[in-house]
Amino acid sequence: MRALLANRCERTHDRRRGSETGHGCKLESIMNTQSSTDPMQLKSKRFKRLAKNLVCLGMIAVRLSHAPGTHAQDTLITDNRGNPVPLGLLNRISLQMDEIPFHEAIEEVTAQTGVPINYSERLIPADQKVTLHIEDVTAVEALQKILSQAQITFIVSKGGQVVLVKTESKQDRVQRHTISGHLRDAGSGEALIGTNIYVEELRAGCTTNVYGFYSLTLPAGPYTVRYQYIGFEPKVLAVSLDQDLTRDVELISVAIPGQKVTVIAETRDRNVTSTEMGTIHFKPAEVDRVPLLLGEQDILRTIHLLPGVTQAREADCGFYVRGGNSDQNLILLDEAPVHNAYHLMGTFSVFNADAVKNVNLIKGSAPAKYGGKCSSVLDIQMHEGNLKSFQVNGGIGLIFSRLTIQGPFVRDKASFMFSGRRTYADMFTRMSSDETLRNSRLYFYDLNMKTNAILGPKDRLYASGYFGRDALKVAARVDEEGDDVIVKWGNKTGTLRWNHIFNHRLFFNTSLVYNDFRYEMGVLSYDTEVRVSSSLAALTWKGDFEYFLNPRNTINLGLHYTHHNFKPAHFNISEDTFLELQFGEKKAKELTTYLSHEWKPLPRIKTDVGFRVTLFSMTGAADEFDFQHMERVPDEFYDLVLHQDEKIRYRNLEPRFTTTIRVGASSSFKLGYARNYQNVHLLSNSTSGTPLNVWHPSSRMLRPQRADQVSGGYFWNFGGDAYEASFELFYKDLRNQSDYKDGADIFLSSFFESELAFGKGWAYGAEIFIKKRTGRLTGWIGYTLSRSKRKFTEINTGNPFPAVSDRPHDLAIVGLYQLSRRWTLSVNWIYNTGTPVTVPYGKYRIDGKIVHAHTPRNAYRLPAYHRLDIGLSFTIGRASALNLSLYNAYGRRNAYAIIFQEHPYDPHAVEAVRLALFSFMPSLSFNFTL
Amino acid sequence: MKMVKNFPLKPALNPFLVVLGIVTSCHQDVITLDLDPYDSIVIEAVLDDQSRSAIVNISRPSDLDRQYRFRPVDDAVVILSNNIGHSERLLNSEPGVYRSRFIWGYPGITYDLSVKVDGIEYAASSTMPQAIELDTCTPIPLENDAANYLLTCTFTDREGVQDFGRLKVYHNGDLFEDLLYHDQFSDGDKIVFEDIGAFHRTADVLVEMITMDEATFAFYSCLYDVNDYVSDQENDAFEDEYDARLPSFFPITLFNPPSNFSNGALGYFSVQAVRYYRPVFD
Repeated sequence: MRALLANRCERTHDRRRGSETGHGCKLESIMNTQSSTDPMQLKSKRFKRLAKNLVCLGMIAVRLSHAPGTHAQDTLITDNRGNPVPLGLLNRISLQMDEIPFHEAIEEVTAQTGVPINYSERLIPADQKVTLHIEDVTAVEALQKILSQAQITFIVSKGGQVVLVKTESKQDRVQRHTISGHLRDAGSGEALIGTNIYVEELRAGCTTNVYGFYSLTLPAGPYTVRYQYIGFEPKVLAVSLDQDLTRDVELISVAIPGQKVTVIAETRDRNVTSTEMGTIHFKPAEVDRVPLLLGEQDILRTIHLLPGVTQAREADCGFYVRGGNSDQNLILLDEAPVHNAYHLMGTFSVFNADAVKNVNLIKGSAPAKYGGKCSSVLDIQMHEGNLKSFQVNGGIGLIFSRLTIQGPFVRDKASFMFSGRRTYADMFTRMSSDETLRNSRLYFYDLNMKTNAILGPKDRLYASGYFGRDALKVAARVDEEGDDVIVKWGNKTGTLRWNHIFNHRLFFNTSLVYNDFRYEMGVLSYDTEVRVSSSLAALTWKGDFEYFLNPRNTINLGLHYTHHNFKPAHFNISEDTFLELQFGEKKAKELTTYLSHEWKPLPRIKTDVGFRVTLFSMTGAADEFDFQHMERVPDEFYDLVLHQDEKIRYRNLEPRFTTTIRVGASSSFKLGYARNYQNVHLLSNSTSGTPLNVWHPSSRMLRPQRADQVSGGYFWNFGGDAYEASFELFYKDLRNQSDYKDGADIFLSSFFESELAFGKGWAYGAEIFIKKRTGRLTGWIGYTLSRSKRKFTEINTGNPFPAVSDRPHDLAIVGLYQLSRRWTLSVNWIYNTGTPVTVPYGKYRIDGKIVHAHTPRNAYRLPAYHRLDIGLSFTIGRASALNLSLYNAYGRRNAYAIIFQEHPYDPHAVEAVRLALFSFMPSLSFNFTL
Repeated sequence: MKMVKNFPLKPALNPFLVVLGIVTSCHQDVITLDLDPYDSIVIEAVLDDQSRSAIVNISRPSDLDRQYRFRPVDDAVVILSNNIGHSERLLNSEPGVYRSRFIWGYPGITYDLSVKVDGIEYAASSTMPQAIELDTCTPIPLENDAANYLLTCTFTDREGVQDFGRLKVYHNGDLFEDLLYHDQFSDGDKIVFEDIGAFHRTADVLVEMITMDEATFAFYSCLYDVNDYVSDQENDAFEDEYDARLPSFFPITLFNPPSNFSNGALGYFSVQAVRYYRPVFD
């Protein structure tokens, strides 16, 4: 210290500030105002020269404080991070060196100043020699002169340690390198989606895409990269980014057996920092303790508990999002659209939770890569298959049982996943003594398969498929004349995907996707067989590029092509002769391209701007409408053909925009706008339950549906990220909406459009969501206040009426409490306004007949819906569990339907009967993992 | 006219859920719906070119949970006018029935009807079209059955004119067949109503060809589609409870036939051209 004091600056200076930036460096120096001959000025010049050198070297900021009358201890030199240089480096020293090894020169400085200097031997060229002759200069200056010969500089750590680092040359200054790779679960080898990658030095980062790929392009230099995901141990890598790097990282789960980390897991702060709006991510495995009907976990039933999502009706998996229709939800299973996602007429969804890895629900502005439906996106990814070890899990329930097997073909290279489930009620009915019951059937089964192979560091191949089937057969009574009635329906999907990494920044995925939904209804007697079938199939090719320009810019670009084939009704009659008819077959082509740019112009502002362009055309000779099958057309006009070879094209431009403005450490405002077009229409006024619906492409009359949604909200995490809250407002404008005209009948009709009315709709509302993510008590409260209306000239005398999705109040409270290591208690309480319906309210005579007078369309409301569900789960072993659940615990008689029927004692009177299905429904299920 | 086979009062039920609910905890109870806020006026007003008098029936719907009871409205102010300057207040001749005396129906004339009840005005307008004339109304003898014949009627659609027709066939005074016709896809063509029915030579068969405007056609068309008539002693609408609970795969939304009256009145105002025919035997 004495030596330091001896080398202090002893002259006074005017204090001025100047600044100069040079690759992250900042200079605050003293500008001398006195004459150049003044010794004080000479001293000042020396400091300026020193500072300038440091700035040029680019890694140190110098701040000199030397007010008149002060002493040299007031002089302060800091590096660019504000850490003060040890005072020992201000000692004035002399060096006489001739061709001495570099490390000896450093050691000499240390010897003269007493300041230890840390460095890596790799940093210093082995053959580097130093020649230097200097007298009475500060150690800082001397050190810089030595280091500059090897393009090295120094930084000061927070602990005051001097560390040598490589200097950025001018070339280095523009040199940027990329660190990229995949993030996987160390236990299963499966990709971790949406994981945060954070560079501590730059306070910047990114998230992994749906394939677990990430890419960060940064200026060359040493970095500390942190990988973190809720439920996994964070991992920190120290990297020296002097070239492009590939770092595949595996995170280790910290889940404690028997304990669930969180109710709906997300990357920490993702809800606040990302541009996603109205988006919820969860893994089925993390919500499997939520009590549900019949004790069976169902993804769609879980979604019902979220704000902005409305259950179609009691025990029905169908859902409406923000006032949209049930067909306006884009449901994707490994990129394949699923048009009727329900089993047993809507009682269960087609998604086997055991096979599902990740679920994303987008209620607001969806990224440009999504499109085709007006209201929401439900993107579901299946498990890829465990790359590390074999795993068997399943469950036994009251209605069906499940079994999933997964494991590696080649460890860390290729794996498979196979999952299936089936109901077994029909197996018992086959043993019935009643022949009619024995011959009747009601069951479903589904299979999920997926395999993937890592072909190399840049290539990965995925193949996945789904096959599901429902069957309902009502056998004729054997002692009566009658026919067997059968109804069968099911989905098939197949997806083949190839990931290719062109370079560290450019990720490419191409997919070939097939989806098929078909149903068949038949009436069978001993000599006649009548079958009606319908199908909707599509083959899609997709090419998607993701370009990670730098942490502030990511660009997505894609091209999709889809060939649709609609067969609304295929009629087979087998009697003495065979008659086959095809009604209303249509084909359509859809070409889509999109471009989106995620841009972070300022540290607190992030935007995602994009657009999507779709060319949709209905083409082909199948566009012939034969009027022999139309009603109200005399038989002699059966030769008339309308719209022969009709070709209609639509060009749809869909702009998308979202922006996030951080307003604090853990809160943000978001604003979004999205336009969506829909060219595949469901012509049905039923909810999800009935599979026998007609799907129709956009045509001359049935124009593409259009939805414009504006939404904004405030997102806030608090309590150390234990709590997440959001408040969102939305307004949705719907155009080219279709609905049946009053009295329409579309069954076996070729010219469906003639039965439709066209109009518009709108929905608006507010959503509040508060979630507790960690701790023994987890869960959420979601409340939605909204309205949804429709207006059709030909319906309800042109007056607006409530849409079937209109539920002004919708509240869900979900709580899970970890009673002990093995016991979990879960409770749901749900309340929503009753469904709007049209009911008869009187009778009147007209045209000589007595008919019912009905309320205006959807003017009456069923009683409010509410119920309490309670679940108790006991964990056995590492991951098996016994679940006891009580659905509708207080026995609320929620109306599944109101049936109007003849009064039993007065044939002239009509009475309203409420049908309540599940007043009090206990169930038991067992889930196991081997 | 092809009837739509559906039962509008049956909602779409999920058979699985119904069966599951029945064997578990399904519950049915009769509930009282608060339907008091819903009430309306029913107006059926017809003026044709034959009777020379408009007949306007005004009533209110009766309660759903009771036998149909005619609830006439006798204090209405009913005014019929046309676009050639005539106007007439109709008299309440019998409960709920108002008749015109001076204004007759002529093709091409537009008529306006105003009904005021309890301070609310319900207005409708209708234009009488030119009558569709049948070309033939021919009985075709049945083979090996000299006593009976099949009835076939034909006419030629007027090219360039939107025709909306209704063919009613009465057998011994009772309505036997009721067919609607619209030339959307048959403009200018020859129309054949073939094999309308088999009748005995001695039967009293009357064919009524009604030509109407589009609004009336839409009303009748939907009235047929409603198909939930509760006439015939009100016993056709509801079968037994079991049938009412059967699933309906093709649910049709309940609706009222579209009225051309304002302010939500049920019913219609139609100015029609009517022609009557009887089969002529050789």
